Amino acid sequence: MISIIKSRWILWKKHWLANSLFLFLPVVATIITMTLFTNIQEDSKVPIAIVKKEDSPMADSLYEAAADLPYIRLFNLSEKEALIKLERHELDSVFVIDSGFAEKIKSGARNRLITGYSNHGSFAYTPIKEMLVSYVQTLTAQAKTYYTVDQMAGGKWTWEEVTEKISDIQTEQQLLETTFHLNSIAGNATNEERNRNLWEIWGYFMFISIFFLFDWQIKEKKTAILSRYAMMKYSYQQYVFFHTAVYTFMFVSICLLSAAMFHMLYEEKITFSLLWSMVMYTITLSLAASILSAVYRSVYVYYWTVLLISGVYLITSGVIIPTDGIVSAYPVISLVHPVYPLVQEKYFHPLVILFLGLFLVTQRKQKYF
Amino acid sequence: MMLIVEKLSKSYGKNMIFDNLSFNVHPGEIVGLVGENGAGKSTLLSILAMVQKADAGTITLNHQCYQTDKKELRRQIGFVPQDLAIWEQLSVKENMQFFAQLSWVKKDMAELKELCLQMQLEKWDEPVKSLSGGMKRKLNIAISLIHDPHLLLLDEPTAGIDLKSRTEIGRYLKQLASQGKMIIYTSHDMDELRSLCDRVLCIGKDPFYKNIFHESPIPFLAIPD
Ligand SMILES: Nc1ncnc2c1ncn2[C@@H]1O[C@H](COP(=O)(O)OP(=O)(O)OP(=O)(O)O)[C@@H](O)[C@H]1O
Ligand SMILES: [Mg+2]
Repeated sequence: MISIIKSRWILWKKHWLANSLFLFLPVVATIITMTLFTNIQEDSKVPIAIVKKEDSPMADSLYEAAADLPYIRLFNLSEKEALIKLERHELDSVFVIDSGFAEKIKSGARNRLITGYSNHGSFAYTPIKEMLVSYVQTLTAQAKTYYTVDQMAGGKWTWEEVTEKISDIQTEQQLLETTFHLNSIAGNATNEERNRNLWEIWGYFMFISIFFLFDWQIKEKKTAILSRYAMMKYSYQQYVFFHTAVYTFMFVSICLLSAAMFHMLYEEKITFSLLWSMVMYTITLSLAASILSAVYRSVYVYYWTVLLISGVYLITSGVIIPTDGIVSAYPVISLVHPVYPLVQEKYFHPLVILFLGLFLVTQRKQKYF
Repeated sequence: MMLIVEKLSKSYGKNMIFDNLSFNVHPGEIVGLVGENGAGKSTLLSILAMVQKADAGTITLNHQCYQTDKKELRRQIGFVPQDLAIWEQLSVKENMQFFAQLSWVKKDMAELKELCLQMQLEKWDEPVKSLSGGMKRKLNIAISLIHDPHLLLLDEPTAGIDLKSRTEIGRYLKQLASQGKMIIYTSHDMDELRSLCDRVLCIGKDPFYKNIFHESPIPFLAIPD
């Protein structure tokens, strides 16, 4: 095996730059795509400013609640600055938390707690206003509870103790709701969505990387050189078999590297089932690429075939257009498309059995001499 | 130790190339294989090199039979194909290294270089692309010799190369023969055949070749019917 690796190295290093580019493509291109993806998302967020004229925990909590909204980008500016930017249409809308905010809530007042500014171009003004108002209502409800509790308990508990207790209860309830939500509409939570995207993109680039690097089998299938294998230690079949193994091993290393990188960058949880799925996916594609490249004699015809297949792969994979509808109508797609067992972290990949069988059969059938 | 070919036949479909061909080759002997274009010289050599199979007949080398002892025989045969079987993108050194890795015999860099030098192939680090035709031919031979084969089959090793390289290759083949190797090689050059070969094997249907070699001082090895 050492001699196989050495012989591979001699051929590999001649085109080390292009080879390495293709080898590391799944890691590099996935990170680039993900960055572009999140940047586009960031750019498409609506810019909003919240001006805090008061520095109280209650004002902060309102600000935090707004910052947690998914489709807005929040700025903390001075009132003057914010209004100038609103004028220039650099901001969609501006909300000012007036001074005395906390006091007014504690005393049960509801008027003029927040001032909202919008101009004719604003389209997020109303929904955000609604959200802020409902949050303020939660705060005033908490205030009411406090005074009721306070009266009943005779002033033993502080404001903070009561509100903390209330928000603890609320968090618990929210957690329950979230869990329920996840189970009922699986995969719709934002976190889950992103995860799926990442692995679909990685799967696609892995496909490109594996199939394009397997052109070695076509390049090394020169008739004159083939005749040498009749007198060498390895027959041509063994040569192809071992080099397919070397390439597969290389791609599996890229799997591990990808997993480590995505764990560091995107805090992906690396589980055994994920690693298993990645490795199975890689082996499936390596075998498929080995079988396909064994058929071709011209690299260019092979490249075009691979591009064509990669187009079909991309369309049916769900990366560009959502395919949930198509897949539930034709469940066979999730069986013949290698990316589905990958993103669903299935232990059983039906294709790997098929390709392994096919690989062994073609290996035995191919008589070069 | 000896190569024995008995009643060998080969045809491509209806096109019969040779039939009932029998001959022997002894150690230390250089046998020239001659015949017109398309006579079947390359076909015969590739059968002897186990690249192709014969339709009928038996071949034994060193008492080992081609049908049953394939694995053992692979080590003992060196074959230089008519077309260059080398990597154009690699250097001479890398070509030697590559094929040495896949070879039976482990040879270190010094030994590989020595093998090239014996054939006056000095351009060790040069990429094959930029070598002359003669140099490429020499490399093509050197690669086939890495595993020290007993039987060396060369298909037009000297075609299209200059007189000097041709002489150098010839001298090297003589040296190998003197070490006890069996050599069969094809050529279309009469002078070369005269100076190198101990015997000549003439195949093909054209009587022209048979007539020439009947008159030549080189003894005949076999004449198919
Ligand atoms: N794979 C093949 N299938 C069918 N016919 C073949 C095949 N290989 C060779 N032939 C035919 O067999 C005959 C002998 O070919 P071969 O290459 O052995 O001749 P040769 O003596 O080496 O000729 P040359 O001097 O031109 O090299 C030719 O007529 C050729 O057309
Ligand atoms: Mg020929």
